[in-house]
Amino acid sequence: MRISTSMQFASGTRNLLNQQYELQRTQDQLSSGRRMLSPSDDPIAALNALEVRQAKGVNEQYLTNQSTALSALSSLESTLGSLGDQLINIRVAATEAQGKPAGSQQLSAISEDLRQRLSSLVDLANTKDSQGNYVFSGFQSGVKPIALDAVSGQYTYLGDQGKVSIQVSPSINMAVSENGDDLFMRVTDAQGQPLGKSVFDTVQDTIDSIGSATFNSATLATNLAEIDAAINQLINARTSVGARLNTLESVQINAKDMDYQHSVRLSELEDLDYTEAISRFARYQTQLEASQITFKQVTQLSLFNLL
Amino acid sequence: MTTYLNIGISGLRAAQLGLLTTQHNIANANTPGFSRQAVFQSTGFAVNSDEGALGQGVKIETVKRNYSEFLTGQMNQSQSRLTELETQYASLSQMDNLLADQEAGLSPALRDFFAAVQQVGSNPSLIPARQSMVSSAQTLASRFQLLDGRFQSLGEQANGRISNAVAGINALTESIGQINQNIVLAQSTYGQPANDLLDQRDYLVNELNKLVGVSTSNNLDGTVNVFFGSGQQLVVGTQVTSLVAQEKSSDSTKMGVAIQYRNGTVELADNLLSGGELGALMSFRNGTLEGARTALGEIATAVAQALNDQQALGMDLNGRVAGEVGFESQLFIIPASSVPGFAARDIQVNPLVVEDPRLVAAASPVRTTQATTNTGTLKLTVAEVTTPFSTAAVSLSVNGAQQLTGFAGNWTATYASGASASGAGGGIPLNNGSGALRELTINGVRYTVTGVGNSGDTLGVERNTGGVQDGRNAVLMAGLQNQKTMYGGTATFNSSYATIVADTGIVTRETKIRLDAQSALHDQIEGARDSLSGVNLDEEAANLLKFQQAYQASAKALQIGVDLFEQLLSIR
Repeated sequence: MRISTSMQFASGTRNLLNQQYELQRTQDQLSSGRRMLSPSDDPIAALNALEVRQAKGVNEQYLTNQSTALSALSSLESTLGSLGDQLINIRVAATEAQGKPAGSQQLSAISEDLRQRLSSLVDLANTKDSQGNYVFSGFQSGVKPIALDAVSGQYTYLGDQGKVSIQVSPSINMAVSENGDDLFMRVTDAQGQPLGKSVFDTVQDTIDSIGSATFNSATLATNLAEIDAAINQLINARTSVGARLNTLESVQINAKDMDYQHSVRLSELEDLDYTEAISRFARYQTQLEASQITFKQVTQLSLFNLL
Repeated sequence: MTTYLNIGISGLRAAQLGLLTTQHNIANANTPGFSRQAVFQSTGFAVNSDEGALGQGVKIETVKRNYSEFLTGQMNQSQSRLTELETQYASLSQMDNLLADQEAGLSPALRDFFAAVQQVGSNPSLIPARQSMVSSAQTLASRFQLLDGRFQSLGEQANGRISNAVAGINALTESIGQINQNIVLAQSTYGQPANDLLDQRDYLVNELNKLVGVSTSNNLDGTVNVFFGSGQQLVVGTQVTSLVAQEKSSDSTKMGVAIQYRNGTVELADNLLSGGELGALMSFRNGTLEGARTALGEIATAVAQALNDQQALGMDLNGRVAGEVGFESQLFIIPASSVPGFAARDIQVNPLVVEDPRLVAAASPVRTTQATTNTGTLKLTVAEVTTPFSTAAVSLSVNGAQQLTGFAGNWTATYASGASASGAGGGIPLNNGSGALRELTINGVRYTVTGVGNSGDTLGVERNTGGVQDGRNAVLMAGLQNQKTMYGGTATFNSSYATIVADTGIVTRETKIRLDAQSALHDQIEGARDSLSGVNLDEEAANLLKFQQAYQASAKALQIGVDLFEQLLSIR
């Protein structure tokens, strides 16, 4: 085949340019560590990477939500623990009244002690969290949940029956609060029948009965049974919180595992295989050098040099 | 006797023309479009005599270019396709690279926004969480605008290049018309082909094919006609039709092409222009670019619509719900003046919400209650708020017949069996005979029903007044991230965006593959054309020697002729 001189130069130059392009691309890949420099390099992988990145982001959000839920539930658990301890102390103190004569000095000392303890129990029920929100008032975190009604002389609940919940996984929307209504007002006895009075009124009734002239072991036994019901109520709530913490733990392990899987998948989709890229770089380099040498040699051949 | 001289001189002349042509070839070795030329010679008219036919030297027939009309035609076609693909690939690469940056795309902005919404769901009373949601909403809106702006500037670039291409086409057709005329003049005078002019015209037609695909036909007088589109004339002989680039009558943001007639212009459909830069720009602008821009606008519209719909179903931190003064039912605003397809350019966050993030309706408008004295476990939980809804308080009691009474309005109920019932007021059965009540819709709110109700138990629904720690509606907003709200419930916001990225990537990749194939094909065709028509300097060097020697030999023959003549004269 006949070859024209300009063809010789053009095709030599074209080869050099192509090889330089490949070399540059490989160099870009090596310096960025990315297999795909633009979506067109592997559109399907680019699509998958966007989806995985989204899933990873959503999962990271669940991890954040889990931490928030964990801290909320932990502090809820500890507050419920304090409330339970306080009620147990109240029960112990009330038990002291056993066998004491009605109207005695000892009983009035016990009832004074109990009054103090009731006051701190109410304070605990009106606990605020670190952001100044009342913990036990349902959705109405700005409302102080437990107050003594001056008219009826009974404790009333001013919050609502809402439970704040946090989405901790795609399928689990976990309650991270307990409302005062469930905890303090809706006490049920051992048979599951509503007691019809709040934890605080129960304690107040105990105090009243210990201080009354008609105090006897029978009324004390009734009061103690009611306090037991209240303690049970709190223990049940604490157990439920504990169960949620357990669930949360396994959800967290799962989410961390997912996060790792996402990272691995992203790396597979996007990251460069350095061994392959470096050897490719070396190959293009050798090729380019060879092309430069042969281009020089071929183009120097001319009959005119000999004339 | 003079035959000696005549033959010698014809040889000298032939060798001299050979040398001149070789020099011309060497001089034009790098001239684009040049076809190497060669002198065509034949034997002169022989003198027939009884001694035999005596040759009379050499005769120059013509100077001919080594040229194949077939190869040139192929090259024109391939050139037009090649430039089209090159231009398309360059434009698509720009778009592809624009979408390549993972941190500058829509995905991270969507992700951050929904993460911030989740935070509000977890901490609805926390003002900084709401502020962060509003500012990431602003980031999202400006990301939409940024991407749309980039698409728009690609469109403007295409418009500018279309105008330039049209100007280039006019300049080339003008020159072709001119050369047509020169060729007629040159060829009619001596009846010999005007080689260099023909090469120039071929070259110009090739250049024209870089701008737009054209076809040609030959006329008897040596001129060519040039057509484009569906047969519209650009050049007929020496007559040239001009094109103009002008805003399209159907869309002033787009540059179109029209034919200039004496008394006005006639617009051409974009799809008539195929091949070359013009064809590529039209198909890129009207295809991939427009598609991506439209899709981006659709995502913007869908995001705004979905978030606003959910916002309207909630209660803000001030305790207001839809329909009340001070409640904002829009988080995102796409102005009514926005042209369809331009939502991404026009989307913005409601300025009132920006000013006061308390207006984000994070809470559910209603909450449910159970009386403390209930002996049963029957409970209502808000499942879904629909529009329109009412927050009017409702008190329901379980009667002796296991029916919920106390609600006078319209209700619908669904039972465990799947059967549903509806009514207005009266008793709502807790069991329809084959299953327990599972869902109850009253006042536009659907509740799930759980537990067992005892006679005398009361349940209530009330407005969520003071419910500042309720983030249920924000959680629903955040859930929109993973919901397939787009394209008939087949795609999420993110996957729709991912589709733009992938589609652009796929088209770019396809175009690159086609471009590589076309480049190889074009190299082959160009190689075949160059193989025939291109100048090889070694060959010309050899020709120089050949013609030099021929010249020397003819001169020598002439010399001998003269010597013979003198010898004759010296006979005395």
